[in-house]
Amino acid sequence: MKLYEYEGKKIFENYHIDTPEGYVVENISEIKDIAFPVLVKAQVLFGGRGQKELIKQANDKKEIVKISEELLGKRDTQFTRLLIENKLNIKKEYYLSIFLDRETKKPAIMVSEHGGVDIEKNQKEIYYFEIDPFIGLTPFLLRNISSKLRLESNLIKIFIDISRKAFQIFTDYQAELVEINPLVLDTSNHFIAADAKIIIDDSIAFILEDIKNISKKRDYSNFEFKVNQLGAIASEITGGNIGVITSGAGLLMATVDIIEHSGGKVGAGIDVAEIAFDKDTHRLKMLFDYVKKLNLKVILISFFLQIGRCDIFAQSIYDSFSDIEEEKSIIIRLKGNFQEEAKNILRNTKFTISESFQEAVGIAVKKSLER
Amino acid sequence: MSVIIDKETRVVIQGITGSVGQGFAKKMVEDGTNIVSGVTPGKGGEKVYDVPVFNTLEEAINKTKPNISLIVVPAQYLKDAVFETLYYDIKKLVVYTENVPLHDEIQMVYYSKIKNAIMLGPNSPGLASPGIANVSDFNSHYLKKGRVGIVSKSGTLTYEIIDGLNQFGLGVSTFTCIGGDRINGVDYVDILPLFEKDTETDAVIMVGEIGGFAELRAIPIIKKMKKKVFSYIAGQFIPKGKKIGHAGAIIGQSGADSAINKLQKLNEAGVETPDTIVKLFSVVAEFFSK
Repeated sequence: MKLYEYEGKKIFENYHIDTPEGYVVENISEIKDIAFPVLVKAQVLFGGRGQKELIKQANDKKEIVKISEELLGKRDTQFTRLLIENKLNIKKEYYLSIFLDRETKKPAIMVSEHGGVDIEKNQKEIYYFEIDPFIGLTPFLLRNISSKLRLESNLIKIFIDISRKAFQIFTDYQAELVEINPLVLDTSNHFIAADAKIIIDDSIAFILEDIKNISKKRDYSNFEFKVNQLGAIASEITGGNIGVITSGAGLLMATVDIIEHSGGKVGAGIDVAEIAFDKDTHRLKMLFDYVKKLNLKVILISFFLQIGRCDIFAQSIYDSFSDIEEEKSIIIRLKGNFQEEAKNILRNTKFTISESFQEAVGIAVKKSLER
Repeated sequence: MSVIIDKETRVVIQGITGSVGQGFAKKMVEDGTNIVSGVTPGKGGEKVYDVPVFNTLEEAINKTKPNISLIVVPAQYLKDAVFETLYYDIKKLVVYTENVPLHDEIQMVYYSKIKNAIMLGPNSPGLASPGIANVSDFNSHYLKKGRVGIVSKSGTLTYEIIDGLNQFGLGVSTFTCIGGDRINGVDYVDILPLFEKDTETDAVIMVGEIGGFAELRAIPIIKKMKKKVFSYIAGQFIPKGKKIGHAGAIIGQSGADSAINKLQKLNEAGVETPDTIVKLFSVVAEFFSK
């Protein structure tokens, strides 16, 4: 789960990493007087805000209102707030990030003395250090890291201290990423975190005391969120008209590949995940009801169940989809435990039943392309 | 011969008294996989389908000498269970549990490397060699002995592929699932050389997906292999940044770990890369018809 900049900065403050003075507003009436100039920053979950004109400078009260009104006009479900902050007097911009590296399967720390918006262009001057999972960010490593940055001697200790605090946040919050870019050195030689990017592991986010009340909805569409709450995993893809429901993630991706290679367009993909083991139809029926409400032309349900039972799925499908007008646009392939019982339940319905995975996919594509 | 498991395989299930553990125990007893014991703290002395349950792994080892552990304990207790397995020098692990915290996975994987263990997972549905042992959630009923080796991240996709191959009269020597999470134990690079050495395997299918570079790290290994390698990479039409199904199935910021890019790189390295599993079935069938 991604945290907004203002949420990340609150954590920084709790760990005594300095951030610019500022406050969050949801509407114009909340704007207060602080020293000018200020930066008005849209709180969004994606990067590149500068280029997208989502960060603007205001030099007086009139400007701050004008800019805030303009930015708040662009609000959507994932963007509801502005962060208004004192503009820093920048001497130099550094880069600091601690993250889990999926290739080395270890944590890592990256630093650079060329932080800021162009960090990706400065690959050569970013220094990467692996962090041993059992010994952590030790003093020798911190000394090596800071030596790469050519810092004045009185600043080394401060930089090491900030790195150590960032690593503490990384550990305490079991984060995937803690990034400060830029880490500003201001004209009075203070390090200040001008931005905050923290990503928390989804499997831990609901346990952490100050994170669990933040809605996880932010990373998902309404449909995805509702399905995920049930225990399944959904992905909505704009522009498609075929819904694919499978028992398993790999099978889902492989099914989507065949559909798209044969000219069909997938609008939603759902892996039923743990719901496949259910012994009653409760969660499945809720899941199917959510899918029904999507604007899909064809629904392909393809299961090959090892532990779960086909008859339970068949009953849920029967209960959920019998009332829809074009039953033939529901294509079902059920294989595995209790498949004969499942066939009996679905016999004499108007659903399209197929015994073969390939055939079922073929029918789904054909129907999706019909006028 | 076979890969990782063999006739001498003796399975212990850590977390045997939970519903998932019991399901596995029942299946193994029924299909003849040599399950020797189970472990659940506090449940020592009980039996699950006639399999003895111990309070500690140490006790299970002393009494029943297992050499592979299937671990199905809940995510919040998993790290300690895996540490226990590795501490007592069991060198083969199938970690079935899903939704494991990433920081725990990092430590588990690191310890498994220090201990030189073969750890499949977390989030691995297991492995099986038809007629020898089945330490997976796949029903032995669908397994047909043959000469195709499979290494994959996904269980359900592997099962669909096995079912498809069956229809061409082809069976598998061993299939191994390395898990669908971002952080996992052994990778393709560790499993492929085992298939290269295996006298029961004539060709290998590497099943990959979007996210991470594990498939591409296998290229130097594949280039040195004498056996034919096929590779299918799932998720060719999934947009960047969209997570689909597996926790690890997400294209990173650079976009270089997309399925299309991986297929292209593998193809350039001489690997046969059908872009759907339907095509995969026919190219593998063609290879074996020669």
